[in-house]
Order: sequence, then C-alpha cells, then structure tokens
Amino acid sequence: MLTEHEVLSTLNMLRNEHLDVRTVTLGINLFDCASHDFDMFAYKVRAKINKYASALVSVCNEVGACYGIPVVNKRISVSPIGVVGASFSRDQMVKACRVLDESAKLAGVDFLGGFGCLVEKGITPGERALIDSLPEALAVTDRICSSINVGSSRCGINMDAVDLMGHTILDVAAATADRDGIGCAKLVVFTNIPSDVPFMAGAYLGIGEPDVVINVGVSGPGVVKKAIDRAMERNPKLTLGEAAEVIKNTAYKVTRVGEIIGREVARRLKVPFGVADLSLAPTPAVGDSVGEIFQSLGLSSIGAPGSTAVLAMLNDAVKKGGSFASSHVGGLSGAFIPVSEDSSIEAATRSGALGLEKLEALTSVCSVGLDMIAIPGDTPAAAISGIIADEMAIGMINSKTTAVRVIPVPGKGVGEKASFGGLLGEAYIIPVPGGDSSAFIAHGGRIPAPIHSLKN
Amino acid sequence: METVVISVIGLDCPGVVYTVAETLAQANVNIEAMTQTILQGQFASIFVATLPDGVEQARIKEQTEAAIARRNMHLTVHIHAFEQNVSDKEPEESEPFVITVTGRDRPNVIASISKILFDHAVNIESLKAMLPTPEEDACLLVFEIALPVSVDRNAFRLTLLGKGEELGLEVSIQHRDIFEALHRISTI
Repeated sequence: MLTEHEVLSTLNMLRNEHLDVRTVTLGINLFDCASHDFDMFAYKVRAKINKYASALVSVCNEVGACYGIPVVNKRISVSPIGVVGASFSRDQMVKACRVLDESAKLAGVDFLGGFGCLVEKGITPGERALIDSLPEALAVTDRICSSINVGSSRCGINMDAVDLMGHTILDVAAATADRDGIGCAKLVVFTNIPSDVPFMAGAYLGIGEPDVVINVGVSGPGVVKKAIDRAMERNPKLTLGEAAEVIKNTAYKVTRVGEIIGREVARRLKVPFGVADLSLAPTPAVGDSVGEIFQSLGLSSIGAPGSTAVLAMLNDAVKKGGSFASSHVGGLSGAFIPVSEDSSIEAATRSGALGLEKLEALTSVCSVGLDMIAIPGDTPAAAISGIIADEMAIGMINSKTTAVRVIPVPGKGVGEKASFGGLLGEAYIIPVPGGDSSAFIAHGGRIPAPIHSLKN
Repeated sequence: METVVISVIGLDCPGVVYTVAETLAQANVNIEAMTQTILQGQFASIFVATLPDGVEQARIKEQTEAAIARRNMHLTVHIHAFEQNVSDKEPEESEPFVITVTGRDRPNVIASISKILFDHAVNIESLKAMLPTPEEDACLLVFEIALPVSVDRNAFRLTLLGKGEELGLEVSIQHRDIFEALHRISTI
C-alpha cells in the first residue's frame, strides 16, 4: 500500500509544481539513407523517419496518460546531415532541410534536430555547404534545429569555423528578420557536444549511437524551488549543505519520472532506451524557472554576487541525485540558463542585474552556455565570433559542454524586446561588451587542444 | 483442523491484539495471517486461524469475548468458517493503478466512483480517505485498484474524469509504479 506522503507528494509535484517530462526524443540514424542521388536520399529519409516516428507522439501521449505525467515535447534527432549529405551542394542542403521539416510535421513532433555538423578540426565540402545553407534552410523551415560543433577538449577550437559562424549567425538572423531573427533560436554553436542530447536546439544522433533510440530530457525547476521553499519554511536556518541535500533528493524524483516514462515509451516502440538527460529545463511559465531557485536560496535575483556559487551547487546536486535515479545518464545533464525561456532570468537581464559578462561566468559551472540571449542586430560578426571563441574556450579547458545560442535581433537595439513565441519566450536585448575582436578572429587556424587532452 | 476467520472490531486501546492472541494461543489456535487497522480511534482486525480438532468456533468466540470483557475493552468478536474463492475462472491479469479524487466532500463520492469500478469489474485493493488540507470539507480519496488488462484504459479514464467533472471533483488515474518510482529505491 502507498503511504499518505507518497500519494500527496506525487500529486503536489504534478498539480502545483510543473512536474513533467520536458522531451522524449527519438534518435534516428540516417547514415543508411546517404545517396549521391538526392531523390533517393529524400525517399529513404522520409521512409525511415516515418517508419520509426509515426507512432512516437501517440505512444508518448498514451504513456503520459498512464502515469499521469505529461510528456510536453516529442522530438526527433537525426545523424549529422553534414555527413549524411556529404556530397550535397548548398541548394541541395536547403532541399534536404525541407525534407526533414516535412517528415517532422508528418510525425507531429515540434522539433527535429541534427541539421548540423562537427567541424572542430576542419570543414569538409558537404559541411561547408550545410553551413552556407543555414540562412535559407532555417528561414524556409519551421521545425528544424541545427548544431555546429566547433571545438572539443581533444581537438582544440577551429577558429575558421568560429569566424564563419559569426557571419552565419548574422545571415540567419537577417533571413528571418521579420520574426526577430528566430532562425538563430534554432541554431547553436557547441564545443564538446554530446552525441545523445535530447534537448533542442542541440539534439542530434552521433556516430556510435544505435540505429534508433529513445533519449529523455527531464524537467523540474519548479519542483526543486518548491522543495527548497518547503525546507526553508520548516527550518529558516537551513544551511547550504542541507539545501543541497534537498536539491539532490528532488533531482532524484524528477529523474525517476523521466526514466520510467522513457523506458516505457522505448518498450512500446520496441527501440532501446538510451539516456536520461538530467537537466533542469525551465519554461517561460512562472513557477517553472531556474532563476527563481536563486531567489529561494537568498539572492535578490540571478546575477547578484554569489550566483555562480549557487549555480555550481545546484548543478552538482542535480547530477548527484539524478545519476542514482537513472540507469544511463547522458546529454547535457545540469541546469540550463536560457535567458528568453526563463521568466526570472529574463527579468534579471531586463533590470540590469545580469549581463553578458556574468552569464559567461555562470556558464563555467552550468551545463550548457550562453543560451537564448538577444543582442543588438548591429553586433559585428567578429564580436559574435569572439563571444563564441570565449565560450568554446571555457568548454575546452574545463572538459565540459558549452554552447552559444545568441540572437542578433535585426533592426533592434539594447532595451528593445524580441519575441520568439511559445517555449522560446521573449527577451530584452542586452548590450555586448565593447572592443574590437576582428583582428584576433581574422587570424583563423586552430587553437590547439589543451595539455590535458593528452590522456592516453 | 478447521480454518476460520475471526474479526475483532471496536474501540481501540493498548492490549487489544495481545488479549486476542493470548486467548487464541491458550486454546492452541494457530494464527496463519492477520491484519489490523485503526480509523478515527476505531480498531478493526481480521485473523485467519486454524482450530485444533474438537474445538468449536462458538467456544473460541466465548473465550475471546470473556477475555475482552475482563480487561474492560469495548470490542465485538465475530467468527466464521474460512471460505475459499471457488470460481473456476482464472483471475484475469491486471495492472495496479491508483485513482485519486480531490475536492469538496459530499455524500455520494465513494458510491459514484466505486460504481464505475464495479461496472468495469475492477477490484479495489485498498481505499483510503486522507485529509490533504486542514479545511474540514476537503476530501482526498485514494483507491488502489487492479485494472484488468481487458479494460480499455482510455475509455475507463474518460469515464472517471467525466464523473469527476459532473461531481465538481478532481479525479486522476495513474499507474501505481510512478508513485513507487518517485519515492522508493527499487529497479524500474
């Protein structure tokens, strides 16, 4: 028999604290769809995605109903198209992106990720064609996400790619200027990208992964915040060690939800279960925010001195609790700080409590990086490349994943608002630090891998 | 040897189980299984026991009642022969689900929900009323049920939710595993 506590606490998490599974992502390998004949490629891609993904949404809804836990997003990740379509021209890459978009719509998923490439040591012609296609490809499609990995702790940072991405991000923004540059919300530049990320925009299915696999991204910032609030009510003198225990225990529960849902979806779809990604993923809804956790722990807002320490403790406690709750942990696994997608973080940038410099500091201890940050539309490409280079360096040196997803909002400047809609939220444009990076970026080449890459 | 069911119900106080068990032990009655619960100060217990040859049910009942009276306890004792479920049908495979009903208390809540369960041949394995908030008229009912695999999950859920809406109550139905996964350390 269940105890009163077990029933009440579960109901409370579901009804009042936004407990849900943020995403169930079906990874589909597309390497066997490669063909020099575009029509053959398109036929195979459509057939394979349809074969495995046609039941994804209905099965996720059934499993969600069975356990009473909503699966908010159903998504697909595919092999990096820069490799699958290695022989394609720029225009064929745009067509390939359309094929994927149609398949995503047919399957009823909200996003499909993997229209990207890994170029940390160099760029092949196919990968270059893909990057060149991004402005048009992301403008003419609705549900496709792209990730470009430009660095790693093993290989260093490909500064030619960093330079290229600075220009590309501006071009992508220009191509979707009528929608505040929303194309950039679907494009993220990584270092150390994991091969099994279920979250967008970074989701793709890497080399070495199964043919088809279910990966799950959990949620739960609201649950963590409420758990801390309750503990503080019981004991106003709660120490940070005790708070970390509360976070750890709560992360365990949140992750168990993802694990049980992911396993059941995988079982019903007859595909293997891959990983649970232990990320605290916020949404713009009040009460579902990572930023609010900072306030619960006594900071006026995220951005106040002490924020990096709070985020470090939060991220670590989430990993400790989550790793015991899941059979296989993967993806990004930590706390996200996406500005436009988190009402509290967005408010901190608006009030001036949180700027780009502090955000960069926070990314040294969070799970991803500079995420969903609106910057002025006239930011020079070299400045964007400089921001990317800094962020990639943090990831490379600290052997962690870091990423940049900034949106230079066309025609808008500091203090103006950019709206992206839905889960992508809205953000006030924040200033980019002054100074000129152009001569540095123009050097190109590769920043060598750090000494600690020599592990063999 | 005869197997019997003994039930003891009444006002709870320390020593109830001892009084019954001691009486049964003295009469060489072997307790095979027992369960007890307390509800708002009321004690209820069921014992499944085997009587030694030659010992009659009525005698055990009398002895237990006498022992209870000696200690000034207020409990009634009932005893009858153990009845086996003789249905020749194999019990249908089922899955454990939990139905929770929350909202303003009203007289027909349990009747309305349990009628749906009865109509679908769903057995209630545990039913508890809890108080989720200090408000006096708030109710939380937790039904743990065995849902036969032949019952259409979606239609059953919609029937329950529809009834909840009709009664102005929040009804949810979830697989029991989610409650355990969240709170207990075990392999999923």
